[in-house]
Amino acid sequence: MFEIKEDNDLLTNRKMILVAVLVVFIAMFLAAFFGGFSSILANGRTICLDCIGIL
Amino acid sequence: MPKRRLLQFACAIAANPWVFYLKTRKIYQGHAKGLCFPGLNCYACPFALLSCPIGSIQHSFSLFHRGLDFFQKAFYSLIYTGGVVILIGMITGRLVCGWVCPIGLIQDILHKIPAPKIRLPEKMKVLKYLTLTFLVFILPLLTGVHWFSRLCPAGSLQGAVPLLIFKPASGMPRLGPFFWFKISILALVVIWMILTSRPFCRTLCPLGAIYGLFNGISLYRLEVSREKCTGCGKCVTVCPVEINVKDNANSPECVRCLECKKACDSGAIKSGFNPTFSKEYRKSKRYSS
Repeated sequence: MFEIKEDNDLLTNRKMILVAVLVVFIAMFLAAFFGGFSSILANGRTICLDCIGIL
Repeated sequence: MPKRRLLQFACAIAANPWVFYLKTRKIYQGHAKGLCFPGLNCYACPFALLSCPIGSIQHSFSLFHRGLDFFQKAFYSLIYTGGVVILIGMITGRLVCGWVCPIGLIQDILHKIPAPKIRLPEKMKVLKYLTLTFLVFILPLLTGVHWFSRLCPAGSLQGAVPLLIFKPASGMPRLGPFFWFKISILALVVIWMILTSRPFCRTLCPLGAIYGLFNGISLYRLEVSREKCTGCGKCVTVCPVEINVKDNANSPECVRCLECKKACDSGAIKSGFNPTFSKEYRKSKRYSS
């Protein structure tokens, strides 16, 4: 799925990965701000009946 | 006690510190529940502080099922939870599996119980990707139900069993046949954990499946020096996920427990984030990763 270039390109790849990390972090932060966090919070505050086997 | 074991215990306790449950019989309701624990830790556990990433991802997909009114909420929660998991994967790969996840700790401990040990067939490793695709993504999207959570043995162990012992203030719902089916799955998986090393990580865990996809590109990586490697095979012998470390140190299966590095007498295996380490190692011929 992902290909790491050999030897001399490893550092270039690392820079690309760092940029990708930054992009993902910003996307995650914005999504959390616009309602993602509150949605997960609401879900986490209830006892998960699926998890404990109650249908 | 080895450093890794100490950290595993510390993370298991840190993920489940809500001892106030014993007095109030109510689960933690604070804002930390909006954060995802990096490993698989069921938030049905009465002591859980954080949310399970896989439970949260299923929740995001199930919101899409509810219709257009929920689309925006579903979209943002998916980007948020998916972003957390992808971020951890890109930085550490499966390091969480080896050092943080409580289910990894339980497997490591159970496998030490004296019993016949059975190797895992290679083809079974693909099961976790099927679990991820169908039980975490597709079925919650199509049905609105958290299908992986319904079957997850971690939920039975961390959620159902403690809640049976320490009943919540709201009362325990009547347990039906499905509950006993889940307990049966848990029992089978526990036996399997005794017989095989890390079977849940290797065949069932959808979170490990996601993290493993990033092992080849994560900022944290392992590298093997061909010049220093003597071919003794100790790394392969100690590996809990039975991979050929010297040929494929950054395999998607590797949980980065670093037992291979500990076992290597010639110092041929290194791990870390430091790019200069890669420069030094690029000078020597190495096995492809």
